[in-house]
Amino acid sequence: MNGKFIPQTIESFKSKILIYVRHRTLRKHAGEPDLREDRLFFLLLPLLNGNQWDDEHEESAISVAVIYSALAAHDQIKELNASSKSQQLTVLAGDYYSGLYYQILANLSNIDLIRSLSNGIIDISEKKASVYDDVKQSFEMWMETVQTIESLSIEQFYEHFNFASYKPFARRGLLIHRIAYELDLVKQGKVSRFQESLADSEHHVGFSHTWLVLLNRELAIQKNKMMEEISQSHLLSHSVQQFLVELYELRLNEQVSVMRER
Amino acid sequence: MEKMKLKMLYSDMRSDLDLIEKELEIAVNSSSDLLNEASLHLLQAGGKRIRPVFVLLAAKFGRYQIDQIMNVAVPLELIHMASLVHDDVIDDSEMRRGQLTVKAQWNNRVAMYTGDFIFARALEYITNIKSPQAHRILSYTMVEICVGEIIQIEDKSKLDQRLQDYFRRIKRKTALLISSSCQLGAVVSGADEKTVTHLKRFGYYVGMSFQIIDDILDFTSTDKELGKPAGSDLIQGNITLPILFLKDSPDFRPALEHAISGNMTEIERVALVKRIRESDAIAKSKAISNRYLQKALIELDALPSSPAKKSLREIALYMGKRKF
Repeated sequence: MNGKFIPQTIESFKSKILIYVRHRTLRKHAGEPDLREDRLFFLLLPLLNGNQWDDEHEESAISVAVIYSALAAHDQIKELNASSKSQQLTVLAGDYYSGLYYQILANLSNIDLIRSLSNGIIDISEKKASVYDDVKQSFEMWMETVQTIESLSIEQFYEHFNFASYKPFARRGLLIHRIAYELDLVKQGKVSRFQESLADSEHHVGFSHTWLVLLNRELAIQKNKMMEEISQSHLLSHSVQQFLVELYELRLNEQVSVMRER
Repeated sequence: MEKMKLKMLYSDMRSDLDLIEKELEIAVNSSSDLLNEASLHLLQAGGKRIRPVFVLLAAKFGRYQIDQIMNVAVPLELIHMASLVHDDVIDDSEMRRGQLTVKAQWNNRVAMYTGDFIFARALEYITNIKSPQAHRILSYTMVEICVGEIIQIEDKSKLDQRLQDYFRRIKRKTALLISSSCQLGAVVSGADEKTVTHLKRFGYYVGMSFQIIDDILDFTSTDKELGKPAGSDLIQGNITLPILFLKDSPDFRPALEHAISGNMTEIERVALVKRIRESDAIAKSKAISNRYLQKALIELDALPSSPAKKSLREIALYMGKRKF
């Protein structure tokens, strides 16, 4: 298997998804659907790692990718003043993708997976709403909240097709991505609603360190754990291991770096 | 008065509708206090519950089992509710049914998550139905509704459009979900194919008539009855049937262009609504709505006589004559 196999497989998967979801007006005004490489990688992980993979796996994986596009579209809606044409069509893009994911699975007659994934979307929506709900909880609980938001649908896909052994990698990988994203926002001087909720919880519950220190530390911890798991894993092929190391820029014994507080 | 009439029409189904109402409350129950509150806020604002009513009545043409058919009636109302929460974000609406919208009471993002939550609950619910055909019907309907809404935005503020464009839009926007409610009620209760087809068509024609009446009422009702300013559709750039009848009139064209430009004052709005109300566009629109209604009744004629058929007829007639 050459080094280009994984990126090429992801790219070809992305092209297939785009065929399903492409809509001229949505593309023009709401942009391309969010089809992040790491999510697509985890959806394809069983295939990339040599598991048996048929059309039903492929179509179902597409439906899960479409769910993430739907939810990501709705995350782009501004809290106030979403009346521009592009925002209006972004609302509809999310709804359209939601309908498509259902349609793909309905055409496969996979009612059990529809149930499991819709159950997951309920959980994800509840967790997303928690940042607007004055929820005060520990830092660890917030990390679990993020993990649910980022990886639940992929975990359910694994569960449904007996690929559950890949769950820890997806959970950790997608958490690393989200923490890195939040820290990047901090560097740019931007504040997310999630960060405001962390700060609020820190104030009311009392964390062991500031949320920013904890977030930096968590990133290093998760990267170290991922590196450990990869190196000890007999499950993942060498090329998959290598791809993960590069994707998350993993190093042995990642320093627990602490970013200066704002 | 209108509510009383509706109550009377629903009286034969009261106990089953009460069950559905309770089930809707259970369905929107969430571990998130915020989603719970927002969903209940929406549910308690009421509504005609037309979709569940059509599901129940259509199911009476097959083997009617409320435990089973509830799994169709509840999600159809939930899908309608979810689409309303998102529509209010798209239309930037502050009020619905005389209450603050979810987006106005909280914010757009909360409205997004509330809609996603309710929509997912609907799908979770309908998976109690194991018929792949039912899922194909509903998923097709949901995608088409979105396509209709996308077209509605594309067509916004375009005065140069044809009647056909309007009919295609309202077919997807409203008629399809009502048609699917009838179709699904019949399919899930195991009604024969011909009956399913007649009920599906009945729902489609009633849905078309219903939306035309809705578009007329946007001009003929008072602000209080509508729970929002009369003429809101036009101000938002939605070109509805009465406007299509007036758009080429030299007397109206400048005022209509001004209305959709978004620069209309409150006094101008009230004056324009009054002129439209007094124009022949309302009667012309009503005539078309009636034509759809007649087509709906013809579909019913093909079905065997039953109390359900009588109720469908009465509800269709009510919907064609309702005042708000």
